[in-house]
Amino acid sequence: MSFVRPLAVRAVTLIGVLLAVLVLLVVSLGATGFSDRMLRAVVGEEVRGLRTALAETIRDPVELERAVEAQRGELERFYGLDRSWYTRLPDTVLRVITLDLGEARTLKSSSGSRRVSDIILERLPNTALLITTALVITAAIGLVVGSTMAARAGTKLDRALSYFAATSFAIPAWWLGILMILLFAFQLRLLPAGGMYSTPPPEAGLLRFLDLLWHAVLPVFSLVLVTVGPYLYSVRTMTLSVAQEDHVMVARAKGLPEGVVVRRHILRVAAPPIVTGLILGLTSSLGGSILIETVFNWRGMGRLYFDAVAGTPDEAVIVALTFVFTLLYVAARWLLEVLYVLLDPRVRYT
Amino acid sequence: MTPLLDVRDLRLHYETPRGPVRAVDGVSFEIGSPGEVVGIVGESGSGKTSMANALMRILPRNVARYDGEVLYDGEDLMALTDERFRKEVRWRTMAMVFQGAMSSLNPVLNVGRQVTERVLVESGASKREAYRKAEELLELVGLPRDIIKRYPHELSGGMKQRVVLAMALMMDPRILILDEPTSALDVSVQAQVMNLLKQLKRERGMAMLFITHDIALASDLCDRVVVAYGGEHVESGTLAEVLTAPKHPYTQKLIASIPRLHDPAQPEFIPGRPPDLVDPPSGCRFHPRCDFAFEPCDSDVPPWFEAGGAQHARCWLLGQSKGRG
Amino acid sequence: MTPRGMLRELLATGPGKAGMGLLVALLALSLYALVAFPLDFGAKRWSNPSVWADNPRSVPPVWTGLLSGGRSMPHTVLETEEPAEVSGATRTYRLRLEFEADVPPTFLTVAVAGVRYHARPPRLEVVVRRPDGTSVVLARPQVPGPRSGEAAPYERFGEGSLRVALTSGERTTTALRELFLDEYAADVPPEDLRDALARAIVSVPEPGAPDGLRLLRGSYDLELRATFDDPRDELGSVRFVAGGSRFGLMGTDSLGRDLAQGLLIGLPIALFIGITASIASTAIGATLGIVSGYMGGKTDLVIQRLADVVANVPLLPLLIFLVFVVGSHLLLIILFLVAFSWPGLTILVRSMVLQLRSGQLVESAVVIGASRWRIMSRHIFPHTAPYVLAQMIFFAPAAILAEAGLSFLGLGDPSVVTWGQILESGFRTGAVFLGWWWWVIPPGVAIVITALTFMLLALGMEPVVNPRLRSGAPAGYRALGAGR
Repeated sequence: MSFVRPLAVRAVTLIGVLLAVLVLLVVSLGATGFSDRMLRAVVGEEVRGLRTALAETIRDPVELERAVEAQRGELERFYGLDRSWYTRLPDTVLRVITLDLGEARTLKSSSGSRRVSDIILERLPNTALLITTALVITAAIGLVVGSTMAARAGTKLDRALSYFAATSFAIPAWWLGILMILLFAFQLRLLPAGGMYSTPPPEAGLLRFLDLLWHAVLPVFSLVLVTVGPYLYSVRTMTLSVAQEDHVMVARAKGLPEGVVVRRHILRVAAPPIVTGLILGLTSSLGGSILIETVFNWRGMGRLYFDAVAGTPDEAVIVALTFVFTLLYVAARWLLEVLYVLLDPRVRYT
Repeated sequence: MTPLLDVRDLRLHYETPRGPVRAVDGVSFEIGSPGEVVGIVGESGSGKTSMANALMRILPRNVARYDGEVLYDGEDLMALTDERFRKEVRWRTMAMVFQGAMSSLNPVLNVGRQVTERVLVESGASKREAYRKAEELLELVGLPRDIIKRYPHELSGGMKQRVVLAMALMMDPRILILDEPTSALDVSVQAQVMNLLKQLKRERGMAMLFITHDIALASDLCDRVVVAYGGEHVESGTLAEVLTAPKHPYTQKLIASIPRLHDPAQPEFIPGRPPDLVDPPSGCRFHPRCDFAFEPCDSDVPPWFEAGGAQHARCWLLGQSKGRG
Repeated sequence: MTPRGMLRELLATGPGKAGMGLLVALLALSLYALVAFPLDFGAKRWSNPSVWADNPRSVPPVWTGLLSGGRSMPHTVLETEEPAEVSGATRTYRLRLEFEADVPPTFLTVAVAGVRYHARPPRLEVVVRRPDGTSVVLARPQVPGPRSGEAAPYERFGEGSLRVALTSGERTTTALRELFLDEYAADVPPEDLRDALARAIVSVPEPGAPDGLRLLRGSYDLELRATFDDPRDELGSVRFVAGGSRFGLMGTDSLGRDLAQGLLIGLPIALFIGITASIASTAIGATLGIVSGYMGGKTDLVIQRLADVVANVPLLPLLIFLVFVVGSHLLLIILFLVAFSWPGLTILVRSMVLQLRSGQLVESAVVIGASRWRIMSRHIFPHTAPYVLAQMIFFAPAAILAEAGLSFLGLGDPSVVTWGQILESGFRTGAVFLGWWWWVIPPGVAIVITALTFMLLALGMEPVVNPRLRSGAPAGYRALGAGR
């Protein structure tokens, strides 16, 4: 089928992206000596444990030292510290690709697991909730307001909208979040300043969910406010440019009702670029979640990233998260391709 | 007898920062009966396309003035509400083939959908009937049946023009407006489309309004010809009258500008530029470019003068011979 | 289109005018900042707490006093090098503090510099003489004695100074308690006093008043009495600081840093980031696009694959990663930003070049034997210029926002002051939850204004790059029945 080829081509490129990012991660860790330091710290910790264990059985200090050193050499060989970083590269890449993400140094999941994959999986739904809610709201407002504005292009309201779009783009979502906290949480005491649940959290069920929504209001609002401006402006511009095409005039001359003209001959034609804008917005708020979750102490992947970078750095978590972000990003891009192929017959045959 | 379509004093002006553009400035003509083809001929900027749009009530937002009478079988279409006009006039009474068939089709819908959608949207036809009719019409205009599933970007220019034509015929309109239907096509395809139009006229008795800048092309199809200049009409008559004995100097120039195969004479070009429709010349709008201009031309607007037979022209030269003779 | 033509078109639009005006203002302001502040301001002064030690901490700007009403305590620094009185071996340095405010000073400190003695260190005593004639000894700062192996004369506090806080500590509490007991026969419990020392120094006890204290307005004499053993002994200068309840144009942060200075110096840095990153990124993007489109073949393929990969990389997570691992030097940050931002333009320019290449202009240039580079730079580039310029303007705010985000995560270059870093320290200190708005609102506003300047210019460029949208009211959409 004609759908398959363009999608397959795209998939190959995106897998290339994934590999490229992974290699970039591993090379920059290796070349800066970062991975050596990470591994040495791991070895050091294990050796310390061993020494205490061995001290129970070996009394002679010289003997003990020798045994410990032997173990240390063993461990260093095991972790590949005796080799230079680039010889370890293929192994590392392979491990991460198979989602063997290793163990965190200090961070833990709520159930106490140290496995990076456990920690990340626990956070993923929280981020997804935040981003998709914001995305749905942005899409709804953007589509309705943007396409209505196209009909009023050139009016004062339309001009005001273009200024709003520019301002909206110029505002960092995280700073807007800070403003929201100052205003709604600190000054007016209307909404919670951060976190995901009240303390103590309500029992499971509807109340708990409502509490979650209650806490999501400010972060979602901040995200929406900064993404909706540029989005509705681009919807307006796309719609406007399609509305000026000849086939729209033809559709009107055919005697189609205005609603059909707008839906089938304007919006439907503008849909591919509009959807593109939406998915690109999704990917950019995926990155932006790091900042917004930090501000609102929202326990998602973004906040996790911040926690791993700030304070005592947790390298395994940082590498794994960067990879997972890339994975999600690439998945979103591929989704975009699928939608595009479905929406625009012109790309199916290229 | 009431003519099929009787247009009287139609005006369409656009608002611009410089002032109103008088694109259609009081034009009148008629299509007498089914099967009659009237050609509207004039250079670009003479308001031909605006006139077609005015008939279909396809108006931009900056309309400054839109009035006159469009009588169809004696009923004034201008008096209809927008909703009734859309339902009863568009595609039923009058269908139109727009200039630039290449861009007349929606790029994301397949041919069948676009051809059938008007029928399906409210006339209660079944989908199967509509598609059968679409296939017949597509076959009539010389396209293979399977084109119904194709998308516009897969079609050539000539094929798209035929699709547009078939689309215009879906509701069996009484009058077909064709705005430069062949100008974007190469010569051989152009000939095919013209033959198709002649066939429609002959076999279906379709009345047509054929708009073109090419008077030679008009002569191939039309029964009567109207010459448009600067938002107005300056001459009308049967094809033979206008072509063999043009009365208006502009028509004469237009005919002289046709290159002839077996004539050693160079085709003439019309000097000067088309008039500015925001601030048209006073009197006769053609007078700055006219070789015969004399004293009333730059001050008084010429009325229609009869020129024998069905022929009329708006030129003071006729008034001189008739009025004083 | 010529550059001048583009500029004219840009200035014909409302957003273009506004953006240009803002840009000129920002450039002028940052020029002033560059002249007024040393280049190493960030490393040498901003991050050095001792520079700001005399400032009140976390206080709002002075002008907020106009809004809130009431007389605020002005920040007062009093300094002298000459003793007001010499009697025998004792020299008294006296400075007068006029206290007329509705709030007490936020703190009171004394600093002594340039002490030089020959045998024993001088004995110091800090006394406050109050408007009602009472006085209190607040502190007896110690000057360190000779160290072993050190020869006379002994010099102390040459570089820094001996700084003593007079509004904290048990000693002050006891002294004030005794003052109130002796002079006013009021027994104020020490635990009440301990947290209100600055207030107590300028108050008289009064039951029923807040904290049991009523402010005593008038002239206070702040004295440092130094008794020397040797007439040759010296004391350089004495400085009293009464902390204001408001400070400067923009208030201070929790280290007492003058936020107005931080905001001002952040401007040239933000502009530097935005402009450098956007110029570099567009230069690379446009060049690769033109080369890719014009050369075709393998070159094209390689550049396009590369662009495809880089364009699909998640920017912020990777930026964070790279800055974290490789380093947070400002130039490195800019380098990373540039490395990930060129592909969009490359893809756009390439598609334009492909159209142009088949055009007559380029064909005729090839016919007359122009070289490839000449064709690319002279014949192809000018056509793409408006788009390239628009992209460049559009990229500047993106770079500024990206850097601000990194800084907010604590990954900014520590040797410079950026608005993102000011916000980061504010957020980390809890300014948001304490309501210290002057710390977290102005830097954000500064970021928004700077980014908006470029966004307005980009908006103004729209008619240049998208002529179809040039006239406001197009035919078409909702045409049905309009105007009737």
